[in-house]
Amino acid sequence: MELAPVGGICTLPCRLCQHACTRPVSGTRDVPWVSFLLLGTGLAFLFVGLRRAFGQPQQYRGRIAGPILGALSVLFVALLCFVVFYQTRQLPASPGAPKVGERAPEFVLPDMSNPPVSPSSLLSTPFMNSQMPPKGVVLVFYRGYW
Amino acid sequence: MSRDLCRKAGYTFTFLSDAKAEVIRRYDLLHSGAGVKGQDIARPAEFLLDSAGVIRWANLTEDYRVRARPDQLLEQARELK
Repeated sequence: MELAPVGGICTLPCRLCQHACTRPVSGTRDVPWVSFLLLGTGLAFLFVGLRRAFGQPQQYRGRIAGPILGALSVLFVALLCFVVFYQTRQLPASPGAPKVGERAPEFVLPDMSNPPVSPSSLLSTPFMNSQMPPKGVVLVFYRGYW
Repeated sequence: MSRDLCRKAGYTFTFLSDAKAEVIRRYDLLHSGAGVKGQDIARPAEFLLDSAGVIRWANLTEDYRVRARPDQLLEQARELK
């Protein structure tokens, strides 16, 4: 069994899985531990395989494919670590953002079909089937554009 | 575009558009140049306002992959009088 290439190939689809599956396992958002587990398994295979390929070359092959896939695997692991532990935490300080206890700054923005909307209009308009104005409003600033 | 998105996703909540990022700037939530093509974009943030328009809970995450969960928001919203 040529474990080095197997290990390398194991680590390759991990990054793809991450994008293809939208949260298959709960709790993988804060720390994507499934990805790390798969990557770790792949690296373990890779390590054992490389030891065999170079330690007992008469029995095992993979001295060319192993290091190539090995380098790629390490690169993928490094990339995942970079994104998870560094890149997504690069956010502005936002010192001027409204704080708890302050009045939310008023604004008027267009809704899709209704007249323009402001926080005070949302708080004074009965919501859906209710006769009463809502008890509160949630403002979600979504990180996206289209 | 927003209308298509809401219809496809089944959103029934009010869906606002801040094309010039004016409100995003007023709330100091602009992450300039962080879009895929270098556009200015909002950092993800959630605010819960009470009936007087006062902020009762806010979440400016330190990691943009990690945002408020629905149950977190519901728990806070239940405490509103």
